Amino acid sequence: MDSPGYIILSRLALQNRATQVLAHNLANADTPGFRALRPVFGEFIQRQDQGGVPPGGRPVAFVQDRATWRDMDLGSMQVTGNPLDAAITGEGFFAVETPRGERYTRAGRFSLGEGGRIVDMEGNAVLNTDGAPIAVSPNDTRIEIQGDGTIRSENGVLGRLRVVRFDNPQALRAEGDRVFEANGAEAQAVERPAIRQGVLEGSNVRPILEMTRLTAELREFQFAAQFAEKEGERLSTAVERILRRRS
Amino acid sequence: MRSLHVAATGMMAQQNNVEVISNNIANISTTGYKRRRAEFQDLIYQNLRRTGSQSADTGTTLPSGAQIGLGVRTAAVYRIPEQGNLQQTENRFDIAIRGNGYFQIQLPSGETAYTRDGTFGLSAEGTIVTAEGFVVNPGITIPANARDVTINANGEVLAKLDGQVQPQNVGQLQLAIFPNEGGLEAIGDNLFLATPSSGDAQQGAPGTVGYGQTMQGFIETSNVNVVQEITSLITAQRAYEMNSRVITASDEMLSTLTRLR
Repeated sequence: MDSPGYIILSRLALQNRATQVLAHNLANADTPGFRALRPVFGEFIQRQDQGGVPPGGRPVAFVQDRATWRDMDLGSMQVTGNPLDAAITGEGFFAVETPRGERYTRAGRFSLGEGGRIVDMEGNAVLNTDGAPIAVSPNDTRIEIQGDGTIRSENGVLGRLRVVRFDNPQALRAEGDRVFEANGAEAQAVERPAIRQGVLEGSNVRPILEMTRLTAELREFQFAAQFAEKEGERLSTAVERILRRRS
Repeated sequence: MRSLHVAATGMMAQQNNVEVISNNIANISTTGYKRRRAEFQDLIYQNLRRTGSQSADTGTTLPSGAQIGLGVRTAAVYRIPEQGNLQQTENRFDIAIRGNGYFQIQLPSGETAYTRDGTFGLSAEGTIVTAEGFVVNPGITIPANARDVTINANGEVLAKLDGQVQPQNVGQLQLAIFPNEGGLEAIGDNLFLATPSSGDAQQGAPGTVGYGQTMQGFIETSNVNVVQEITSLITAQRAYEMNSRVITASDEMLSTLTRLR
């Protein structure tokens, strides 16, 4: 039985994965509405098939990455002056209509698409409280987004942005392209969203924190590798000694 | 080592960012240039464990899944249509637009292009043309005996002819506006073409509701702000460096592994 070897291997694999999550966070340090991911590791107790833990022994624990956890802190706010940019300064997500169904995003970089519809960067229609796209006519030259998400122009109200929240935002599944899928969770409309016009929410990645973590991950990886090496040495020494005694 | 590739996407994105910034700085004195910004979005995710699945060891439902992202890509390079600075030139055929709208230019190919660069002049026939000699729509010809030409805020071209007291209206400039200015396609030389995403041009006289006013004797310079560009450049460079540190760290991990015996 070479438990120590396998245990430390599980650790090395995880350290590798943690670095990847970190790399993804850093790569997206400039992506509007991006939410940083954090890996969660857990102890994975090996099942002792015959008779459980031997008397006086201890269960063998491997490391397993249990989940990734999404940091839901607010991102940095940047004033853009673009009248169609909107940032949610509190809880919630904008709802957009993708070919795959309704999706949710924090990236409020909107523009006008075909037919004057308000769309996101991918051309997905931004939805109003009735779940329908919001259209702007060519006569609407001064577009104003109010604090509660109401969009109006000089010709009157055009619609109100659908802002939703989730009881467990961790359950959301990131699909890339800045959108999240509800993944079975129920979207609840936010009655009083806090929206700012002309502001864009950036990513909530704090690069200094990520860099510090990166250094820590690297050292832990090296530490684990060293452990594996020492364990290898111990084994080969043991084998050598046994062989020497026999000869 | 997936983190190597992930960090590489980050470096490529930042390189893109620097290219856009350098194009802005290069065009800092280009008439009518609108600054651009690169914007990013996250790439797809790999699901190691799906949210809501049962965990094997305890049989409980997972509150959150294990997702690993694969990096970043450039989502768009968009133009910021903010008004540029106005610069007085004293040239009577220099026209700036204050507010919304584009001049319409007749290309030799027959297409209509749009521009905010109002450095116009007269052709041999007396027609108002761009610096490249393309006719400004609708073709306005100034009579040869005109002594002075005034273009007012509503785009009316008034020529004072020899021997006449009252200036005569010889034409009316028209502006084009678009439902989505950002969707215009730049073809260089300060010219843009309409695309399906910009929508069809709507024509109107300057100074009417929704259209900007014309200003004679002025040109609109670029809306590039040096301080902002340099700040973005520094940020982009730092982000690039951080991604490259991820590569170094991943490489160190790999070399640690290869040294294992």
